[in-house]
Amino acid sequence: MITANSLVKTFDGFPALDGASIAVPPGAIYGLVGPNGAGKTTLLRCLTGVYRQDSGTIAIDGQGVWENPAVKTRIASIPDDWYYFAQAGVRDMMRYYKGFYPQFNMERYEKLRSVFELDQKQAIRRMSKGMQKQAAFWLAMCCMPDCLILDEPVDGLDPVMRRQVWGLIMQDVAERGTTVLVSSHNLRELEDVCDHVGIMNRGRILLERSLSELQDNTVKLQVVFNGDAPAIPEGLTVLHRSAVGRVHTIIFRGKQSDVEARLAAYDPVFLEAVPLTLEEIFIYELGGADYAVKDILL
Amino acid sequence: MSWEVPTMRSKISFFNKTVFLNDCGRYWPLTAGYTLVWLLILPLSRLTELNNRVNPNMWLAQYQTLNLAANVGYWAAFFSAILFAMAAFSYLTSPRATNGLHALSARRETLYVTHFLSGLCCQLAAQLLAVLLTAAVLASHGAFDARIMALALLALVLPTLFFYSFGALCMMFTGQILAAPVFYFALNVLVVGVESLIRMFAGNFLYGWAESNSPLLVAFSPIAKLVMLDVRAADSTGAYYYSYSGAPMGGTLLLQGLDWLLIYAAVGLVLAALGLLVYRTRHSEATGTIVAIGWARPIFRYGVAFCAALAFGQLLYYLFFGQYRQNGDYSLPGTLLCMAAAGLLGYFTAEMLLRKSFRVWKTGWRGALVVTALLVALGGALSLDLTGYEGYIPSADQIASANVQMNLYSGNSSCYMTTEDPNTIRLVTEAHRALVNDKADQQSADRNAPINDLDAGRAYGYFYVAYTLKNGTVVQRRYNPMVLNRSALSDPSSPEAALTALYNDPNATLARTLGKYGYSSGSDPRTLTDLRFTGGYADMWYWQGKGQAGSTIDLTPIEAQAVYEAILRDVAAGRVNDSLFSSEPEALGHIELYATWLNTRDYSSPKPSTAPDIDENGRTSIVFSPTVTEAMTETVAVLRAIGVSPRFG
Repeated sequence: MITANSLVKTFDGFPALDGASIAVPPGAIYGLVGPNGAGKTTLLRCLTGVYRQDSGTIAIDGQGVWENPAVKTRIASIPDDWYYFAQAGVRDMMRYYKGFYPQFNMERYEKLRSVFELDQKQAIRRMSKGMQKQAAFWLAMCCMPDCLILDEPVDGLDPVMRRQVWGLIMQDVAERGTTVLVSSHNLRELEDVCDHVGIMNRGRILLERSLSELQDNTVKLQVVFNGDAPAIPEGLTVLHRSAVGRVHTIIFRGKQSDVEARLAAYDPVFLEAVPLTLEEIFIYELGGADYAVKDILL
Repeated sequence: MSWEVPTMRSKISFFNKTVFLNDCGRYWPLTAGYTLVWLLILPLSRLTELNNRVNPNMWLAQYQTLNLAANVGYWAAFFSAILFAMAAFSYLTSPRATNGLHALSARRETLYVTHFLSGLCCQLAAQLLAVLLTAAVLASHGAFDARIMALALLALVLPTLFFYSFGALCMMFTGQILAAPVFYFALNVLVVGVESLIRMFAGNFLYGWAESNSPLLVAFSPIAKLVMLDVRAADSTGAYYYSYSGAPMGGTLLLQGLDWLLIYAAVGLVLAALGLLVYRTRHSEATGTIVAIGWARPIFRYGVAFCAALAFGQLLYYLFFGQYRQNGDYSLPGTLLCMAAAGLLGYFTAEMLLRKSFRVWKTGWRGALVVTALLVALGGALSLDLTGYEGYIPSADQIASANVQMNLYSGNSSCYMTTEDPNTIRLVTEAHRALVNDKADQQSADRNAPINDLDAGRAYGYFYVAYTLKNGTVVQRRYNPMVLNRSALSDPSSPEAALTALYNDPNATLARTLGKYGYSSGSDPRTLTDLRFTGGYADMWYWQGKGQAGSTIDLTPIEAQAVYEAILRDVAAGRVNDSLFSSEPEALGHIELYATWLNTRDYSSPKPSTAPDIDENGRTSIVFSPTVTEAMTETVAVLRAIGVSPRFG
């Protein structure tokens, strides 16, 4: 389990992390989403022991990460700007990783050769961005990590390879119980693979829940009332509201059954729940945190 | 820290084989180039030398090997060390590389020590290879000596250890690859440079300023110290052998400067440990910054400002105000303005480098105010001479000896001597005091008047005095230019009168009569013990008598001694006394007297290169070149008796 409590990390006085707390259950695929500059990459770098937090705690299975090789051996990370030596090919980097990961699995390395059809001798710097990402995945998966920390992992990969990579990750989670923490802006993709989601803004985690819990707790209803729309009953939290003619689309925070029961009192002509995407949850939750899509006329 | 998660720590490892091998593989071109340079310098040059010499001198071959290693060793280390340090720790200057390596399962200790060792081992391997091959070359010519080869290896390894550690430490402080060599080279000469600038700065304000760099502080500028030490091969007496003939060969060879090389190597180990401590506190996000360690940033900011004020401020002052001024005669507003302008320029430049932005006024104005205030305060304090520097003259009972250099550009009035005679020292302090009291007149003197204006009774020159006090302290003062007027001679408190009294003191007259070369090179005998004349000569271009014109007349030891004693009698009788304002009396001819004296002075070991050669009897050669004038009647008479007549006599 990856836990971080009240993390603070400032850069020249700017708080990139401002009391961020996160809890990733073991074996979960945790999607970390947030707007640009929310602090996601900083949080991931703290979790991998690259940055040292100013305050707060980080632990993996109860053990601190900072300067703790025993714990870091259990973590593999693929940052957005994955590092390789200038002259190195995949095979060179494999040898390098083997020196740090005693559990590096050569059998898996050989197996994955057929998946990632890369020339092992070719300098990685001469590969395309997508191929470099493939090389990073190839090596990370062979490190047999207990925790896989990914920052924009499939950025640059083609759709086939994306599916391939996610398949490998989910297979690893299923077979080995790997805990995956992934930061991405591709919410539709995360929705397909994640079972937990954390939304981050301004250095804090605004909310974190299992995806089903998150979707259960937010409901999007289309309603047509008799006559003018009545006031929303007290006690219901509206995340977003819009109307086209007499059709009102309202996103509530709360359980669908509860909300529908409250609205039924108004005897609506039409009342129907419509599917809510992670992207909508993200947008409307952040809207409440002063990060909304602004209507600007150019 | 209290917020740390309690953690079961694994044992700290200081070495990672994978990182080490990867490093060695990554910068093999640098290692190969370095190896090639050393192979060319040592084994190949030795092989060529020995193969081409008809009768190779085995001792000389060993001497040259050690000398080459010693001469080139520290310079090669100086330049190569920073390159290897940059290669070993280059990952700290690229955010991608820093984050990549720091995410791996290795502690900072492991990364630092392994990277450090990889760079060091590449250099040491090249050096070891070069020395081993050189040993083989010498052995093939029968000149192998294990001790010499060990010394040669030390001459290579010890400075490498120091300079490489220093370079590594510089890399720990910066996140910019190009800043590292700048820091490295600047810090290598920083102390000497800043000390010189401070002394130069103080010299603007203080009348009589004369200070030389402190030998103690030079040690903090390693490359300057090693150059001063003249690291080289020498025999046990400290003698050097530059040629294949003339000098005796065969003494036990030593590595001159080995003690300091050992000290620097030990300091290198400390610096390497310091580098680790700094690395442990360094944040990964500091990569890319000029100064990567938080507490070092103010030091950099104010240090650059201070150095810029001292260097460029003084340059500006010199260009705008001070070209025709002398010590103690300065424009205070001009100085402060130039210093403040250059200081602020340096401050904001440093701020721009630190913040990577040209917009630094808002963040830097407070610091700029501090810099300005400090520089104004420093200049103001110096202008007020708060330490009493200008007026300080040690009392006679404090002084062990005084070295005087007095020279008037008009006429012959020059005198260079070192004296321990209390009476002469009293005259020196009186002349010194007269010059101190004459500050106002000296500074207001018309320096645009012609220099050679003896007819108008004016003379220009300088006066330098260095007192060695009984506690070992040296107090120096220099008054340059010094302007004297004949009309002031009647005033006994004037510098003119006091300097004339000193000029005609028996010790001074003896020193100027025997000539400034009367003391053997590098020695400072003061009292010539057991002087024994070995001969001399008189140049017949100037003298007539026995022998043919155009040749020289050799003097026997007895004749040389007789001439010397006659000179002493002339000096004692005051016949050499003269006025500071008279034109140079014509020398009657050129003679030289050779002698030896018993040198009982204890020189440090190994003997410094400036020390005189001492023979097996402890004696040092000396050559006198006396200036014989018509007034020296006793000397002229002795010369006539020998058969040497003045050319017009």
